[in-house]
Amino acid sequence: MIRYIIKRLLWLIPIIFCVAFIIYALIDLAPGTILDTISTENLSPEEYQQLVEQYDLDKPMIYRYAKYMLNLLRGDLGRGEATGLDVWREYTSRFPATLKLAIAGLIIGVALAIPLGIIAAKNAGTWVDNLVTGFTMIGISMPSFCLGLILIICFSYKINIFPAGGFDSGIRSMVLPAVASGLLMAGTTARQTRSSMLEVMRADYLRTARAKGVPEKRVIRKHALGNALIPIITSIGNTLAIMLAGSAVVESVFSWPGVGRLTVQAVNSRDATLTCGCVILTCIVFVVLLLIVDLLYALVDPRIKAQYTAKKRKGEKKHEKS
Amino acid sequence: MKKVIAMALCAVLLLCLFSACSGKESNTPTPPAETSPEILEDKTTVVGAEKQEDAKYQESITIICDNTQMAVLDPASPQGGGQGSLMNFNCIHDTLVENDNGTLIPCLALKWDVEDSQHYTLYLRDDIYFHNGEKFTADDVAFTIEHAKAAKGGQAFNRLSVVDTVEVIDDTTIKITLNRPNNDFLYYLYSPVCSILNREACEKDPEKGPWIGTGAWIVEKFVSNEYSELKVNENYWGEIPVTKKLRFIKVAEEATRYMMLMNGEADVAFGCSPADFDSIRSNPEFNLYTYVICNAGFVGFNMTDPLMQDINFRKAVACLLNRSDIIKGTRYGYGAAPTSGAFWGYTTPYKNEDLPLQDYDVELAKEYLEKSKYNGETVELCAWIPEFKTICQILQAELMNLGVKAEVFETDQAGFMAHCKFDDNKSQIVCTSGGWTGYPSSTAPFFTKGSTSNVASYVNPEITELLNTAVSTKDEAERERCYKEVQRLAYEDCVYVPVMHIQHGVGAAKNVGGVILTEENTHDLSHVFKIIS
Repeated sequence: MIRYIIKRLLWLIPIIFCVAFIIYALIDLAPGTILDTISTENLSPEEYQQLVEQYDLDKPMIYRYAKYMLNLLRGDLGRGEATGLDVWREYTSRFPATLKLAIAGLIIGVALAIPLGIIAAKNAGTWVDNLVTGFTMIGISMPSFCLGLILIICFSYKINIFPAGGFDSGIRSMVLPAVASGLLMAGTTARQTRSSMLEVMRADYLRTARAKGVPEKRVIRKHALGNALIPIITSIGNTLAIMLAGSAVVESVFSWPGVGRLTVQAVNSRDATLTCGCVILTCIVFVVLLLIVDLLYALVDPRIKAQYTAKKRKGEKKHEKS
Repeated sequence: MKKVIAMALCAVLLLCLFSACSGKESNTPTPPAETSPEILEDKTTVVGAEKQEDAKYQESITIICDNTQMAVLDPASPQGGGQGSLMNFNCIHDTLVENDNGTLIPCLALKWDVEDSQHYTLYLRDDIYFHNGEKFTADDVAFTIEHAKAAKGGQAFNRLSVVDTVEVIDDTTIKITLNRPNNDFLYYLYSPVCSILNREACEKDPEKGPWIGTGAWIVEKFVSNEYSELKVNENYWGEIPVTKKLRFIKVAEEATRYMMLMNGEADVAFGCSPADFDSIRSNPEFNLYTYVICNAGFVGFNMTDPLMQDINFRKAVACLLNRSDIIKGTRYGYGAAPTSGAFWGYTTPYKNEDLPLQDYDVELAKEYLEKSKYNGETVELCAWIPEFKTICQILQAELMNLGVKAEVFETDQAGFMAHCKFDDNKSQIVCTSGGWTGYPSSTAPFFTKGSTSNVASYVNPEITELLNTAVSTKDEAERERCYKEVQRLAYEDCVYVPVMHIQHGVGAAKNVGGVILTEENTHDLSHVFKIIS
């Protein structure tokens, strides 16, 4: 298991190298440089050239990338080219807000999606199933921008029970952005739950359980849901990872100070260092989260746990032989 | 049964569809009456409730900033020119002088001597302390100038790069020598980007040092481009604000700004959408203050492009600007048409009112087009500001009606600036907004070689010479002549055609006062208050 974790974490190294290269290449390809976001009105040609050299814009993209990677190897994410602020500090100051929002969204999403998916699967083909499918389709297809504004109009503007934006009213501030993220997540996860449950519910062992007189609730909760959990966990893990990367749209609509907005602002300023830093840190969060999801499989599925154990035994035997 | 349910659902959907097509009055705001727009009565105007004796004031006030940058709290930074940053600077820092409706009044500098428009001696106050307890001295002024000159590309650099040498005579006297005579120099100093910083604080911590000022507010927390939290400076040398805490939040979405104001989450909201102006105005709990700042939206022509070099084509385009439709279409009527054909700031001095504004005239446009070299090629219109993207679309439709093929290139700010770069200008027609200030030399960047504002890549040696003379002469009549001549020459060349002056709106709760709006969009909220009883 530990070897597996280390192996997965080591994969981060080439991923970071690739991601940083892609970011640098994209920023290089995008029209405009950081110098196009500042005023050069009173600069003499020499002073302008100094700025070009300061930002290494006179050198090829690969040079800037290599320079960045060398600093990164020393553990230095650098300072934003536009603001001069420390990238690590900027990211970490916003990450807690994104984390809170993602967890709140996850709770709402899971609380809605799993029961809805189970209900839809149990009543497959009936009007209940159609109703749930309709709901999930809305969740999947409605743009988060639109959903966010609808929530603000209904619950903030019309009945004023939750704030429209900001972060300073504690849990109240979090409700609307979390519901917006959660509903979007609920759509995909409910559909995943429904299809997984449908597959499992046709299985022979459920029929056997029922024939043995196991109560229906127990059949669904323990035998069906337990076996359908793997794809659901994958779906939840992926969505959570995306949410942790920061939903720039939800954060913008609700003026939530998260990493998504930071990344968008960095791109708008053509700030390669900040953009790259944000993407790399997000990438690490993503990989770690997906690793946790993989490890969770072992918890919910004894067969996977057995695989890990078998590999371990095999390794020990090899070691003994040698 | 299933069919019945399906039919019923279809019927409900159809009903919803028809109800949307009902004749009910739409919520689209009606444009304001065709009257002159509300402008700031003066260069600075205090708006809102009056202070009252024995009144109780709200402890904390939340102010929503528009979507421009609030990236840093360093006045010299190239990223420090956004509205949110400027409002923070006004609260945290002080400047050497202040602008009282065009007249300079003392602030950190008590008085000044001007020898010959090139040598300035400033006499400073000796009773001022920074937030960190350090005493304010002439050395801090020298440091501020050094710091601004080092931050190339910043608004402060643009103003203070004219300084050649700084001589600290003693703690309260400083002599500044410019690299050439400049009559506007003292006017540069009232801008919040020229706020005075503390040398020791900045050298100790380059990131947070610039947060230390002499102003009425102390920074408690700042998250770049998100929010700032300030607490009142109880040892402030001037009038101590009655409010104890201020919070500036950057809210990206106009709709969210409006709703945060309406449900009381914020007390003042800048950057309100003109679509919401009527709603705010009609609500008895709120006030709406609209004003036209000192800038101008314009259409510019790239003078390095072969087709755009043809004055007949440029004039044809100028004839197709239906300003009243543009203002209605882009700003719900909240904008001011230029008062003359001069390419100039709305309230910038020496505006040449004798230049007639080219009215919308399709027939004349056809005549100019026939005389032009246009040969059926596709013309590009470029913009990055949302309103100006709409202007491009309106102009595109007008051009296509005349048989000119036109396409609109929409981009972001960096993309736009790269596209219209002086030395490598790839644009043809650009629609954008230019910033002026209360002093006339702020027009120079539009005509300066290499400047980012010179999106037309336009250089006229005569204009350059006139601008140089105007800024250095002390003769008022000569200055006026030069500036008016600059406008006439630009008008005749038809390089920049003024379209409209945008009317901005600030929403505030009825009992909020002390908001100082300025024509340069550098509003001062350092003494904002809200009466609660």
